[in-house]
Amino acid sequence: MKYYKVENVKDFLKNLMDEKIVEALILPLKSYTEEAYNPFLIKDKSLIDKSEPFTFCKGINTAREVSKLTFKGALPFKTGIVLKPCELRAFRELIKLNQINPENLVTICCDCNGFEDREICEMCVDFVPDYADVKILSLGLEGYYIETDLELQLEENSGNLENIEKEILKILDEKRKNRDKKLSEIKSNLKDLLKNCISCHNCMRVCPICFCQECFFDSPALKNDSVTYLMRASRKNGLDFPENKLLFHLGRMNHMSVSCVNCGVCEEVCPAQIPVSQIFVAAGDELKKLFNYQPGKSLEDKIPFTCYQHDELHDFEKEYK
Amino acid sequence: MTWEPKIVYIMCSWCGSGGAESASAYGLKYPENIKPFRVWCTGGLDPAYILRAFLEGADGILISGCHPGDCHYDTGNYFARRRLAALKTILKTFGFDEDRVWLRWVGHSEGKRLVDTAIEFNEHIKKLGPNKI
Amino acid sequence: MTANQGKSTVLVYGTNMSGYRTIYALGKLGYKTILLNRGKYVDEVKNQVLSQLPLDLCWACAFGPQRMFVGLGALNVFYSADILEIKGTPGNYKVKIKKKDPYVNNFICTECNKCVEVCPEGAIEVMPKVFWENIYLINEEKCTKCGKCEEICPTGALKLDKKEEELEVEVAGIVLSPEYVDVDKGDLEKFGYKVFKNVLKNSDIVRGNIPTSFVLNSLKRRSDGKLPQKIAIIVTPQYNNIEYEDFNTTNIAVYRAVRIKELHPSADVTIFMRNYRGFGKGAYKIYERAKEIGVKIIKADDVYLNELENNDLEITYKLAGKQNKENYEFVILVTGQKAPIEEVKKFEKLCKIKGDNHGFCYIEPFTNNKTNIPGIYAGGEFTGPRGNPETVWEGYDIAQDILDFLGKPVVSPPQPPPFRDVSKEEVKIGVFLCSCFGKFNDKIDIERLKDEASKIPYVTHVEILNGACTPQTIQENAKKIRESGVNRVILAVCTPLQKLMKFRKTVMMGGLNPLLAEFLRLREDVVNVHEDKEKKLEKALSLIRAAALKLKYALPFPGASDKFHGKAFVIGGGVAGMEAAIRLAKRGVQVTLIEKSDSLGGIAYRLDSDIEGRDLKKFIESQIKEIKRNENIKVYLNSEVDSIKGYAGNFKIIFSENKKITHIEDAGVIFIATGAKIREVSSYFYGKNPNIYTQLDMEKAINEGKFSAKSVVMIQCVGSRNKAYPYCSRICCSQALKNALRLREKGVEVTILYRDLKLYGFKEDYYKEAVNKGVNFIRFYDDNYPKAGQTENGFKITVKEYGTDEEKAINCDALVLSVGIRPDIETNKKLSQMTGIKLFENGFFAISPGPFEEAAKKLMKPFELQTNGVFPIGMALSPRTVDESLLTARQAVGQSLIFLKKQRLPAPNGVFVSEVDESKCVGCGYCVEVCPYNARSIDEVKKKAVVHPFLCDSCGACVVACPSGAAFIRDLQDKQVIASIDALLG
Ligand code: SF4
Ligand code: SF4
Ligand code: FES
Repeated sequence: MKYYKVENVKDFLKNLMDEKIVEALILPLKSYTEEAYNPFLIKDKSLIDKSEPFTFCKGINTAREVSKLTFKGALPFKTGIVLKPCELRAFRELIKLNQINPENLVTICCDCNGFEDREICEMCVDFVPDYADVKILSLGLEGYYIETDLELQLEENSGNLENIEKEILKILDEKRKNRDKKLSEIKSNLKDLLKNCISCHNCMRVCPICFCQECFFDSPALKNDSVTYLMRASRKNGLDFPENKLLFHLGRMNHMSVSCVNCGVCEEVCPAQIPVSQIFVAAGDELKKLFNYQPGKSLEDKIPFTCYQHDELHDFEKEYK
Repeated sequence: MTWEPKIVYIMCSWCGSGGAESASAYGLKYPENIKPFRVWCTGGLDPAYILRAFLEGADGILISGCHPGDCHYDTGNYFARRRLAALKTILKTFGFDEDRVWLRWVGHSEGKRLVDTAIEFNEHIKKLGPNKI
Repeated sequence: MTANQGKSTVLVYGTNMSGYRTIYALGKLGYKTILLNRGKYVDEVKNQVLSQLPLDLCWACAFGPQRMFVGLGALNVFYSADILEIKGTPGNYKVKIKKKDPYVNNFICTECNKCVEVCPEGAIEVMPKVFWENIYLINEEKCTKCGKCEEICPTGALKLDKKEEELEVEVAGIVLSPEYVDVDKGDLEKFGYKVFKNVLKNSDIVRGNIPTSFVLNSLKRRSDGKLPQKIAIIVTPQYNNIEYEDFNTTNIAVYRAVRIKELHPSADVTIFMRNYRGFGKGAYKIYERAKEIGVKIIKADDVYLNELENNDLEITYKLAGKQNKENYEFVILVTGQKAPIEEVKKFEKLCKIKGDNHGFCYIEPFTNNKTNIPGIYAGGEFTGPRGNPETVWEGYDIAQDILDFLGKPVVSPPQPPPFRDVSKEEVKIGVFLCSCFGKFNDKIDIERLKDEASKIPYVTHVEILNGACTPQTIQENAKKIRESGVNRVILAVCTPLQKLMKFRKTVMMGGLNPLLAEFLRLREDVVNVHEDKEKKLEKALSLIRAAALKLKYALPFPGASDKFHGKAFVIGGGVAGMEAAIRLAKRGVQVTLIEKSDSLGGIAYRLDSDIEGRDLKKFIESQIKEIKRNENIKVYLNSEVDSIKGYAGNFKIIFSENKKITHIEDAGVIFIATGAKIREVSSYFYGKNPNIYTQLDMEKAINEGKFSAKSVVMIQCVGSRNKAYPYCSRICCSQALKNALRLREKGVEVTILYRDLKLYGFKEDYYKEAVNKGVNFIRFYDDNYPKAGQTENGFKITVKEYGTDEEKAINCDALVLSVGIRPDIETNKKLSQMTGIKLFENGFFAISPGPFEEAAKKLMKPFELQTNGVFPIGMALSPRTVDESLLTARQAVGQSLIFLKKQRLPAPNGVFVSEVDESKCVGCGYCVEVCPYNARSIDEVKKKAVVHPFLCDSCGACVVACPSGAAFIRDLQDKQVIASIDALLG
């Protein structure tokens, strides 16, 4: 592991291109409307000036877009992708799910104190860029430190790093408190939170982990014939529309919340202002505890539904006496 | 008419169903409102089906497969246990009555165990009352 | 039977599992078998499975072959049967047999019970719960042959004209597989079995609890129904000369103890055994667990029982020479088996086979099944104490050996008739309600059911059937289906587990693809299990509604198959690898064998003889000669695998010779025979003092005349059976005894320090011999190994003796360590990655039938390709003796021959096979991870999942795992399940 100190991240990125460590970059750039930032794939380093490397692109998790990029095979040349820690987790989870081919991709990730107006960021306790190829550290520091295994033609400098840990612990503490508070709020009325859902399924569409071609909960399997609708209506004392709201959310949660990286794009795009992501935190935490699994971390850890232990989870088996 | 719980009993085609067949061979009885549905293996039982049944007003869902280690397909029930654990955890987090879903292993020969299970579950659901979703 | 058929028929005598498995394998290969069952019905003669199954699991699949091949016409079962005379020559035996067909043919009987009701003498008895059916038997003593029952039997299953008959059959070979000889009252006198009230056999407990499995009730004292607090478990063969134990017996005791503690944590459970003989990781785990939860294990030298007034049991036991007493409330005996002396004598007369000196059937050296008479094979408990896995393996072994005498295969699976194309038709469902020959009439209002069912959407035809399972009704019903013009069928009948094939056949003969039918269990799910007629009707209707909706979405499908390559690839040229190659080549299979080192023979070649004193070298040399001679075998020395691609039937293996020349081979199956290595030792000054040997070093020194020590101490389990190597090497105890006996002959003083002597089977004899010849044995505690100090002219060994806790000191000139073996971890890891066959943490391949997890289940499942056509054999699986290694190789050959000769293989369940909807698949590989049979892989180019049909057993795991709904099984598509469950909820 080597450390370098840089003053300016954009210059550093340019430097990466100069040194041919990467030949292209994916990073947030002003979109053509000039109003929002979107991830762009660029080969021309002058475009870096127009970028905002550490901004969050609303409603987009970059990992999801990268997965499209490599779907038909690895990129032909080294490409750097600038990610937030949550995006990095999505990126790694998608590698496990065979949705990203990591060959030739260089992950560049900064630590992150969250973004304004994003409640999920206030609860985020996983904001240090573990596992990135190039880690950019800034919290508690003046300027930036780069931590990487790559050989850079910069002067090594691991000067003043103690502050980082202190600062991180401080932030962590604060976020933990926020998280606990939020979660207890959320958990008190989880069911109600979903009642305004209009079944647009936007949350699923932007989710980096929901990579299916067709979501099970959109599939014809759930369309009934008219007789069945009537039957259901009388069984349930009236059928409320749009139907299958709860089924969608709970079902989706069952499918993928173990892999959910809590990036929060789902709630960003929800027109009914449902705190989807926070709900996922509430349920996902339990599952992750159950299976002792952290999504987006070690590539060795198997996704819980693809493995098992002989002797486990006996609480879920009803004992017969 | 008194209320009778709507219960679906999902069993794998081997031990679970075998249990039901032994029960019949032993001449044992259980309540009529328990309706069997067969899947090949509990490992082939998508929790989405259970979830849907639950949300569609089933009062109880009972699941039986081969004992761990005895799945006809070796490992199906281990995966099933994980899937169901996840589902039940989610239901619980949401404040639903996750105890309306039971998983109990029943061996091919264990007809009595199957019938006892059906009766016990029926009583349990009766105590909980109708599933108001 | 014509002479021609005789060339392709095998006679199997007795129903132990090896016989069953031979029948199964031969049936799959297209040969006929005749099974002589000495009982009146399938289960009458107790089977080993049940008595010896370590787990409280279901065991019914073990008898699958009988059902399956009777149906195919490949197997003929004779009941109350015996052999009277054997004439002829190998390949051409003429056997006179006697048999008596059962009065009630239980394949046709529907259990309507009418015969019981009508019999004036009460002569008809029902054997309840044999598997999932009741068996009807007529008690000859009471029966007056009045004929009333036959008259009333609606199915024609009951026929009174059955007499004992004698007939002669012509067969190519004979398999002797009589059942396990159980121990009973007289044999267990010492333990008061059937005399003292609260003494039970473990097998009684297992048997008695079939309907519920092991529960607290099973433990209640027979004297007063109270739950005991203090329970003793005794491993009786270790204290009783006439019993023999197999490798699993002590495990069964430990398992039982753990189960008791789990159910009844406050109980005080003690196991009495002389030596713990489990090996393998599963065994070690459960042994550790037993200790952890407080099971006491007393390694007593002997035990005696006495009943007290309150029916408690007083156990007197000897420990290191001292007598101790302790009272228990309940005693469980884990018993062994007796030698089949009578049976052996009988066959000595009939066909001149020999017995061995224990009274079991004699087996030729280096074979696992050959009697001294060619063409006559013996398997399972008849040949020695056996556990379940070996017994099944021997069945495969016999099947491949007996081919020597067999002609051409004669049985081929029946081809289904052509199906009608219904794709353009509207859904028309026919509901066929079986009345079970009128049996259901007074239990459910079947006429009303018919009326109501006809109102269900899509149902266009409802009909009541007389019956559905006799040959005649099957014909009739098929015709009814055809004539009704429906294109979907609901058969409301009874047990599909037992009769599925018949029902499917009915539908197929009716011209419909089996995917267009649903079989409801009217009997098991409705008629038999409820009281209220009205509610039964309702329930039946809702089941029919659910089935109708399921059928509405049914998609017919012709079924899938795939090509299968007929060559084999063997990795490793030790005894097991060579044996596999030789056996395969003998059946005309092209084999490529590669060996890492520069010579064949493996680790066993370094031993000169085994404990039985047989000449190993000579045997291995004959193997090597055969390998070199046989044209079907290509050998590459100094070669290693670089990559393995593909799946069963379609492997491509790249390997390099001398690290230079690269070869590519195709193969259908791969045998991994990477063998084992002697474990490196670092303790006890090994390597630093020339007078410290491993057993192997010492053997070599003796052979070279360089061993001159006058006193020797051997320490067993050095570096074994601990956290790092949690298994027993299985060979060191015998090796130590062999060497000890040899040294004694030269007058050397020998002391063996040990934890447990793992001398299962007949090996106990050598222990007795060693004691007689003056070998000194001292047991030490598991966690307190002997200490060695170097003295001027040798060593001083100190050891704390088990039981007495006395510190003993022994001086000796030479110290010999039994260090055991370890797998070739590096190679195994590599191969595991390439083939996807998992390894245990200790580096052995994880499909070993460890005494627990796998023993029961995997071996009974008729699915040879479940490890994707990769067969780890010999010591790649686990430590084993030469004979055991050979058996693993031979049985794997037996399994693979079933497929190697076929060019195309269909899916095992025909049309029931998983598929991929490519438009939805995103290639995530979730499905690949969960498939138990390696039946799926990802096509890296298309990034889509592919199914290898003949590996898929249609379990549905992939369907659940697939997040996108791309994986599906045609008969349980999402919309079918959802619609059906909806209908059930009403
Ligand atoms: S159905 Fe079962 S056996 Fe077949 S491919 Fe799917 S997981 Fe494998
Ligand atoms: S799990 Fe489904 S989407 Fe993933 S590879 Fe398998 S079939 Fe395709
Ligand atoms: S087949 Fe019964 S649980 Fe898998």
